[in-house]
Amino acid sequence: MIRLKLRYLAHVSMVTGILQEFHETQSSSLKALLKELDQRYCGFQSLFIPAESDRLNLNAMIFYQPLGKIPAPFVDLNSPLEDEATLTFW
Amino acid sequence: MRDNKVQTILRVDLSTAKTCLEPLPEEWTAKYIGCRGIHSRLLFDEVPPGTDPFGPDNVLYIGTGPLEGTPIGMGRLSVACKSPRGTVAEGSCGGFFGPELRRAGIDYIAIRGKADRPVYLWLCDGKAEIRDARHLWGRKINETDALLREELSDPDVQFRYIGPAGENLVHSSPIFGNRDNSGGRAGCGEVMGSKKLKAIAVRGSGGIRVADYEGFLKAYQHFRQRVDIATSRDVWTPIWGAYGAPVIVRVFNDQGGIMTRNAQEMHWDEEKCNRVSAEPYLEKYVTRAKACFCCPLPACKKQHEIRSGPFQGFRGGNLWAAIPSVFGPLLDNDDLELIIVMAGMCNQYGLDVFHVAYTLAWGMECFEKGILTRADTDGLELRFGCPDKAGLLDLIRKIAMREGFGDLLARGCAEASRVVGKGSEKFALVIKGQELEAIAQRNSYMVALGVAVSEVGPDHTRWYPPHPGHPGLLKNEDLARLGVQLDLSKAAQGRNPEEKGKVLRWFTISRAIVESLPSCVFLIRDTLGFDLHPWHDLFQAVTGIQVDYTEFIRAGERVMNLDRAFLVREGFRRADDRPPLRMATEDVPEFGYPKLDASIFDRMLDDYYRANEWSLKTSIPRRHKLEELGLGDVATNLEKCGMEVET
Repeated sequence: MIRLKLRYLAHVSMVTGILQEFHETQSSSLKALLKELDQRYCGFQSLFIPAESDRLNLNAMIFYQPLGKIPAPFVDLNSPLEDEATLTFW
Repeated sequence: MRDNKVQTILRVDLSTAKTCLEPLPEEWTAKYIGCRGIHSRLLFDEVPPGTDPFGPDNVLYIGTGPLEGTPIGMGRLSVACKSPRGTVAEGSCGGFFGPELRRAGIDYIAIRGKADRPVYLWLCDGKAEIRDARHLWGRKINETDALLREELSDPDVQFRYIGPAGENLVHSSPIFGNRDNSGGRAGCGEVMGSKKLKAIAVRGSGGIRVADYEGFLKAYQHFRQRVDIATSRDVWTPIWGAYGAPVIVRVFNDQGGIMTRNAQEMHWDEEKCNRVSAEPYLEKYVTRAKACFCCPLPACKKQHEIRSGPFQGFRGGNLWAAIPSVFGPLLDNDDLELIIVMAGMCNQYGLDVFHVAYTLAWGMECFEKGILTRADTDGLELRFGCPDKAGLLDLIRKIAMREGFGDLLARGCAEASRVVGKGSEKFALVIKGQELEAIAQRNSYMVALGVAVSEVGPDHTRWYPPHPGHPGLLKNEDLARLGVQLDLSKAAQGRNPEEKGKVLRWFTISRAIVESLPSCVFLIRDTLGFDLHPWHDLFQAVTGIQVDYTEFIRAGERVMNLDRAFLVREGFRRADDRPPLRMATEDVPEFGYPKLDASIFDRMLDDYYRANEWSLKTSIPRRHKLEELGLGDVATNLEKCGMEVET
């Protein structure tokens, strides 16, 4: 189980109804996390990846910041998530 | 009904009160396109080196271009002159003045001389009249707008005007329109004030003819697909389309790219940031959306009202992208209502928000470090966090009216720090005498290079967007087919110096084209920044002028080289293309961004000059490049001015 800080910007916050939250998860990759969040926030996953795809939508961005490190855009949806990381969805 | 091949210029001499409408050379439309491009040519030709910016020989240009008045024009208008700092002063703005000017049969206004009393210019269907404006002098923007509307008794008249700041020659004052639209922050409002010209009013009844309607429709539909929320492949389109540009304060903060407490830090407290971003702004204050002429993505100009609390009843609009960033984290101020009121006061007094924000931030850092005391600030506790809100708002008024401590800040950061000394120069975040904007530099090398080399001082619209887009949008081979030789994945890496010179050059050329058509650079979405064929198709369809794609791109290169030629002729050199001292000498404690090392910056600068074929030593454009662009006369002019133009 890892703990993540999730931040939702602009139109993404229209889907979630909140600007940010702390989230405990057993998802080990961003792809799994998106699927999990889609169950909580209907339509969340499709904002970021088309069905059956491993590529981020060209009109979406996810920033990933491991604790104490510089944030960078996510490029590999299968890369592992670290405990205490921050993800920003927009 | 007008065609768009030959453009017209209204020449106004305020010293003699004479006006004359004449055509511009027909070949200029293909060579410089219009708007900003024509202004660059006129400025180089008609404002000789050493001209006193506040003297009668400085010329203030206000104009638009051949695509204005069609849906692609977006109401864009360019204002230009020699800046009081000696640079090119050129800026563009939206609204409705541009289309109205074209309907009046006028594309450009060139204003020289000085009136002996305050005047305004009334333009109606090609006729010009210089009218007394003594009753308007000293009036704020909103008051001037209301008085002129009443006087001219026509709700469709469009205006450009200055506020008390422009009249009082306050540093960096822009020219305003539609109450809260401004452009020309490098001092066009100051120059307008020096000519005692309070306002320009225009009304036209003509129409704009599109040469190839079917071709235009096809090209316009292609353009719309690139900017519509449903079809655009651009990370900014949904975020801007739904919430508007002020959302960037959270975007930048999450990337560690928000200048906080006068850029001493690059990351702001997240709770504070949430309080000033677009989400609460939209929820609590926005009353309606308002767009520029034909804009399909009304991101910028929402109207707002504060409904309760100490500022209850305060109304305004156009809290555009950078305002929550510079009146928020830069001053460590998380009171969104105070931000709205500060921006509104700047609009009413005709001040430049960047000048005001950065000068206040400079003053706050000086105050907290003991360089300034209450004895200097007229008793104001000038601290980050803005504890004395009423005092701060009164200081904004004093800046516009040049009263007390406000008079020092009215001179701008660079001059104020020269007067105060004591090491305060390091807190002045300026380039070529002009304050920065909202976009940070130590996390994005393209931004650092872009603001440093801009011929007007820091202005991200010269090479917008500041982030080269989604790496998956275009492959390098796609770019090569478009004539753009660069590695986009490297160009998109914020702190990798590779490819920054090349990508910046391309963006500067392509933006010069878009601003010359004109259209709005904020609508350069999806592939529209790299693939200029849609813009080329629109130009040909509207004007009926057939130019090949390569020649179309060259028009942008000409504009860029003319701006550089004007700048170097005024004495600016490579040493002036530098980021502020703070960015080059101080590391950022949080997020771990180091200072922008001089050797890295110089490498990018070399790459940029080399890509442009400018002298690596001086930044002066080389003769063979100018001749290749058909600007051999510019090279000769520079040589006659005693400059060493390399072959």
